[in-house]
Amino acid sequence: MKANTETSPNSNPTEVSRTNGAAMTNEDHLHKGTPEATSPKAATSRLAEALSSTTARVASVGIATLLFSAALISAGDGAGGRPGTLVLAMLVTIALLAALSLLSILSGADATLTRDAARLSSEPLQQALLRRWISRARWVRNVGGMAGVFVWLFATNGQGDILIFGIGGIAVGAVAGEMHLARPSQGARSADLTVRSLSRYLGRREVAAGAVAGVACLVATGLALANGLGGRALIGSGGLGALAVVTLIGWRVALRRRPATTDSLRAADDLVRELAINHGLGAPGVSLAFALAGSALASMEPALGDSVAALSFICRVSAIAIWWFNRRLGLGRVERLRAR
Amino acid sequence: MAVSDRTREQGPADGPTITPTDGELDPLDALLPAPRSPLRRLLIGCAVVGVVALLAWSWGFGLLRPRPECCGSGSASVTVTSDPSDPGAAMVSAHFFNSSAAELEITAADVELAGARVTKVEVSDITGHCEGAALPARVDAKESVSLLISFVPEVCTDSSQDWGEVHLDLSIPDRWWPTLDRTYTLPDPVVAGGEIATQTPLANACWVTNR
Repeated sequence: MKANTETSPNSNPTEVSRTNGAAMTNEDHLHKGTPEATSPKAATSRLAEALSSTTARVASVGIATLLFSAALISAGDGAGGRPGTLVLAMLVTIALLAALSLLSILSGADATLTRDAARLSSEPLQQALLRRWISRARWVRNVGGMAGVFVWLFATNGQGDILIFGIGGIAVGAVAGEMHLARPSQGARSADLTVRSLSRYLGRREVAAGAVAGVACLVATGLALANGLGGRALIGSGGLGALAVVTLIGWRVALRRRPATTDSLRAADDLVRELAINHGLGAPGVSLAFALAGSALASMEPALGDSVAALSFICRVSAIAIWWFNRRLGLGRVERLRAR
Repeated sequence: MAVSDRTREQGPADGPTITPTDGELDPLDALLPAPRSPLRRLLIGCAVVGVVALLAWSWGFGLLRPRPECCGSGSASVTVTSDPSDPGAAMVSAHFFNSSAAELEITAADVELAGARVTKVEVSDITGHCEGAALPARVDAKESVSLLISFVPEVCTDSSQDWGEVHLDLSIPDRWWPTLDRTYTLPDPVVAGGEIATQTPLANACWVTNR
């Protein structure tokens, strides 16, 4: 076993963008040594990205066309036209657009993937690693979220709390996406012995949000237990369970084994772990905890009054806000990450 | 996997670089699994969402578990009338809807009404034109029946608490499912026919029994 015990300044996950020295070497490696760049898989990925952006444009144009058609139909109604056929054509077009959009999401097509990775790092090899993680994380979250919405739609006949099912699906997808194991080398194995811990990767903002969500769940659970509402207590404690699960998986991500590698890749891997813990896992977990606390509090409103309703509203708005700002993994904060 | 010090070969700024040789692992693969092709992702995504949606639909449709609804949970309001077979008793009629995809059997019913003595519990069709039948009674999938609860009010003044609870023992005939029991809170009944819309359940019961 080869051990790399070097502790480089570049191992700081926030300094990925500063590791520019090996750009030529890594680019060379990316284009010559990495099968990813030249394989048919890469070509199909690029095609999927292109399709994604094209899909978005087609959808926009399609919607505009449909609106125009609707206007024509309205005008045709007065002139004795035949809106039935047109309406049918509109519905078919809408269904096709919706199906195309769903298939695009399920295939993991992501038009902004390359740009997002480039914003996180200027090195091609680091970008390649970041692209892998971003693509994987977004895909599993989308699949999970979509599955959650279907559960809401079919299992509860649309009468459940879509916030819980949708965000819950995203959280389950995020957890599933981080359960992978790195492929072991066939020959001699190596290990990076840099000491890692969960606290090294956790962001202050995420810790604060998690603490507030935990308190909200505790309050909801406590109020429910104090008023003999056992079912509501279960919902509130479910939020605590969600926080515990994402913390546990985050801990696993932090300690996941890493082979000996270059400083550049080590820095990129550190950034991937940081993003996975805070944005990939933490945000959906905290959002789900807020949603569950809000749901538990809302169901106690008839018994406990308006103060509980206000708390529930705050929790729900927090859940929606966290989901919204993290819906694309919250990479919009990349500039801040680089500057730290 | 060859670990070379490029400092010697290409310049001072490059640092050590790992380059895979034939048959060895790509350095990125050692950190994160290689991405799947869009087609494979599409197939996996469709399979996952499809299976989850199918299970959810089966659950919601009542294929995976029984879904009995009673006494105000998605059904009509509970009504109180005088019991035609017992002039001194009142009768509450509550809807029971079998939302499952399978037939359900109501094997027993235990009704608790505060301030009243329950004399019998029967089942009739939803129209109320047929006479009540004693339990057990079978309810077809997606069908409703009326639970007829006859009782004699002992007082005409209600307490502030919920006045009634219905405990039902249910089973699924010809299936391996275990028996199940459900408890429903009986909502305050209204007088059938809209003759009066008063007061409290026992007061209404006393009114229909001329007390």
